[in-house]
Amino acid sequence: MSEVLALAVSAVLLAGFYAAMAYGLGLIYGVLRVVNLAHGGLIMAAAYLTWVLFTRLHIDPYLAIPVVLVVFFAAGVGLYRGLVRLLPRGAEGGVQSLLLLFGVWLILRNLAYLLFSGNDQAVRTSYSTASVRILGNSFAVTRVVVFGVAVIAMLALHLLLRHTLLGKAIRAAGQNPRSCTLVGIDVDRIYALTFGIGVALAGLAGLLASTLFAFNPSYGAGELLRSFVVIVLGGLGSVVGIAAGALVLAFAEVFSIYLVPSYLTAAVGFVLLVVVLVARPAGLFGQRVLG
Amino acid sequence: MRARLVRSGPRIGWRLPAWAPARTLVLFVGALAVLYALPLVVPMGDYAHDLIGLTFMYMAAALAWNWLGGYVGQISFGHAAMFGVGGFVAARIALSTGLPFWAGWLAGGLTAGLYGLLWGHPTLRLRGPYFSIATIGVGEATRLVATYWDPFTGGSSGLSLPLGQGPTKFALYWYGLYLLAAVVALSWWLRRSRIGLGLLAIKEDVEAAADVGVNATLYQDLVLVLSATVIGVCGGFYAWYQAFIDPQDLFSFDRSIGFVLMGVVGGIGTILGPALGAIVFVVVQELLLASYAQFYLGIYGLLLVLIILFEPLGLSGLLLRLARRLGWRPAAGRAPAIAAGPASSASTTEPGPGGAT
Amino acid sequence: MTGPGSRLLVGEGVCRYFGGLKAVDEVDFHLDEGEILGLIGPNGAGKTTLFAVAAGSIPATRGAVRLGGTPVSGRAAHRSVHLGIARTHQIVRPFAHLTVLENVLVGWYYGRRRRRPPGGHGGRAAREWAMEILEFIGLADRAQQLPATLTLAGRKRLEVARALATGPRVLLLDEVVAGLNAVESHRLVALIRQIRAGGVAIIMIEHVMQAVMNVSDRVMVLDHGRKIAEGKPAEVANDPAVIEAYLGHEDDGPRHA
Repeated sequence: MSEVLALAVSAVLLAGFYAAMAYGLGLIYGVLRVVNLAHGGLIMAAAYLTWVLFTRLHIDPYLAIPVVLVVFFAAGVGLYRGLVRLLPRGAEGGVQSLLLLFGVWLILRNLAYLLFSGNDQAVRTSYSTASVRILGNSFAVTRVVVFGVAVIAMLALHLLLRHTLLGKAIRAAGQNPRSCTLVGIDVDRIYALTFGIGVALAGLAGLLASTLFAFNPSYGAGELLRSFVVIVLGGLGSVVGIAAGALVLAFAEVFSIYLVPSYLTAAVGFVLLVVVLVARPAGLFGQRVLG
Repeated sequence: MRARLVRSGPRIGWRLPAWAPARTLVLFVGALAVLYALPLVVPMGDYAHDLIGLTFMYMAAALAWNWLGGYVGQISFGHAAMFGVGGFVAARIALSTGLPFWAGWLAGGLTAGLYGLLWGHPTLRLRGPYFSIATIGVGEATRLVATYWDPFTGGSSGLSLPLGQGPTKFALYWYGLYLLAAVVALSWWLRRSRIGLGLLAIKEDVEAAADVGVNATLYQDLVLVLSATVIGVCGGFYAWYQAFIDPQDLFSFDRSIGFVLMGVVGGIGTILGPALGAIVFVVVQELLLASYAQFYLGIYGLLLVLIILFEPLGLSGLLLRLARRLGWRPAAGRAPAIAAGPASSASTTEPGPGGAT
Repeated sequence: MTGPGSRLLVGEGVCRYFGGLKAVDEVDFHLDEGEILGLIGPNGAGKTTLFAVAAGSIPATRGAVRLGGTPVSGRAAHRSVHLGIARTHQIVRPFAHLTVLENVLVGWYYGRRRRRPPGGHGGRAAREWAMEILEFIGLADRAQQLPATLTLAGRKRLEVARALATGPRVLLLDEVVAGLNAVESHRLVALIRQIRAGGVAIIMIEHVMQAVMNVSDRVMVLDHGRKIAEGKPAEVANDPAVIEAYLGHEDDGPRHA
């Protein structure tokens, strides 16, 4: 019983990270209808940035959050203005932007490889091995902090989208870009901002990941897929949907140890992805995009 | 109306199918003969000889990937799964039965085809990015299972093939050529026969295609099975070529990426473009792996970005432009069907630049 | 059995709900051999949904549509085409990267399954047949061009040509006249009459009242998913329920071409 409880808490902590990770991908898809295939690569890049800030400048990873957010927001705006904007929208552009951003991912991987070699790295702080007790079981402090940061990020995003003028413009651009132009919203600017925010969230996810897992330049494929699973499961309807999707994925992965060998837990997520995609074809993301 | 349209035209005698005009056939047979005789006439050394054989295999694989990626517009990031399945089935058959190597290739191809159908039938209902993402999931799940399935794949230690039983690397040149020839013929048939028209319709608009009677599910499944089977046979070829296979290599995501790159660099959706892409891929790989191994992913990434931005038809598009500049004009009505993207169709409708120079 | 006047397409108690919305609600209808049935009603009345059910694009929530006794609703769309029901779309959907001729050829090759197309499947014969259809429809001189080069009227004709190439027994035309000018729509109406004369029964959705009243043998009116009137064009036009339905939706009311 206590084992089940421990696993459940573990799954909830993991779900927080998954939700934060997925939101960036979901936001960009929801508004621009572009699947950011560089998402995993950006997560990897942020993990390295955090690692550099920590090892060279001795900045605590969690205190580096503002730096990472700003850098990746700028990178996202740059990616949009420099590349994504040049492609046609619609079905044709969908495949093209997929391949384009895939190219960006390959470039990021190669850069990371050149700069940091292919070896595994990890951010090891003085408190990396510390643990806290929750419901009678001990959990790493970093996992709890990551969960906290993720929840705060989700709430902040929720407030931004629901209660600010910018958020309303973003949601409007996602629903009907042509009408937005009519009421005087600069859709192109909104797209750039949205891409920036989405990439900044990928950056945050990378920072958080660097404090939990070892990573190398190939890191990110699994994260991209998991983000997609979360979005497909939970839809883009709300923060609650994303959180629910993240919980389902995290519980499925964590509790799969009862069914499959531990090295296959990652495969559980991939199989879940395929099953969910097939079971909910067409209107996967629901009719409401971000409302 | 009905009466006007009903007229029975008697068909007399035998003639070439419309998708394989005489000129194309002559070119095809000629190229085949030249390549067949090449190593017998030109002394090229073992390295080049073997490398050309391997290139034939990659050309075949790239063309097969393009049937799905280009002809029906479903970009697969998971073809390594079938490459690995084909390779390991072929290796296992060689190791545990006395069957000839080609039986292993065939079995590997068929198993890969069935495996493709297994995951493809449900996922091909998805379009565009959804399908692509699902294939990443399929590829990665297959890789994980294969990597840890020691009894079949040998796990992290891989499998060594019994060298005496199979073809020599030298002989693989011609087997690669046969494979490529079969795949080129299939490519032509899939594109230029009436099936090709149906596939294009599916690529353009699945629902509208269904509304004129195209069974999109059936044809997409068919294309995937063909593509998966060929990729599986390629895996078997690769197993004998390397004589040692490792699941981390055959099932790797990078290998799936390789197929995408060959297709896109060569010209997605064109008939033979991906074969060009495969040549570039192998050459670049050999040159860079020798001296600048650390750059090769980035170079491909950069190529991908440049191609998508400036020439969605890749090398084929560049060649087409060059040919036009030299005064060649494609027959009206054919070029658009070969074209894949909006940029290309625009270029076929605009007036040619100043005729021959 | 198959002479003029016998029942060809029959819908019984057809319902299609989207969540709580009853897009089509308990509609009975029938189409006889050689008949043109006009389907009218205010926007959102469920006309296009009824078409989608009849063409097999979407399943009926309840009820059934039969073609000569064979159920068509609830099967894949391509099956309905093979059985002999072809439809056009309100917003034209040509295959943009295929030439006009190739667009028609797709219908020619794939529209029939057990029924062998006249002249067989051979490439050359098929091209001749497709050209003949294009001549009939008036697009023969544009055969080698891309659909984007056609005018709206041209693209609507292409949509009809493509459907016709499948060799249908029933043709479902969704607003083919809408958006055309007076001359164009007059010509298209003449074409529709010719198609019927060739032995194809037709149901047409139309907002352009003049066109639909002129050409239809019978008219059926939908409002809020229900059938509110049916009969000869002149009777329906004077039906109080119909007038009320249209007056209640003034914005979307009948326009005169």
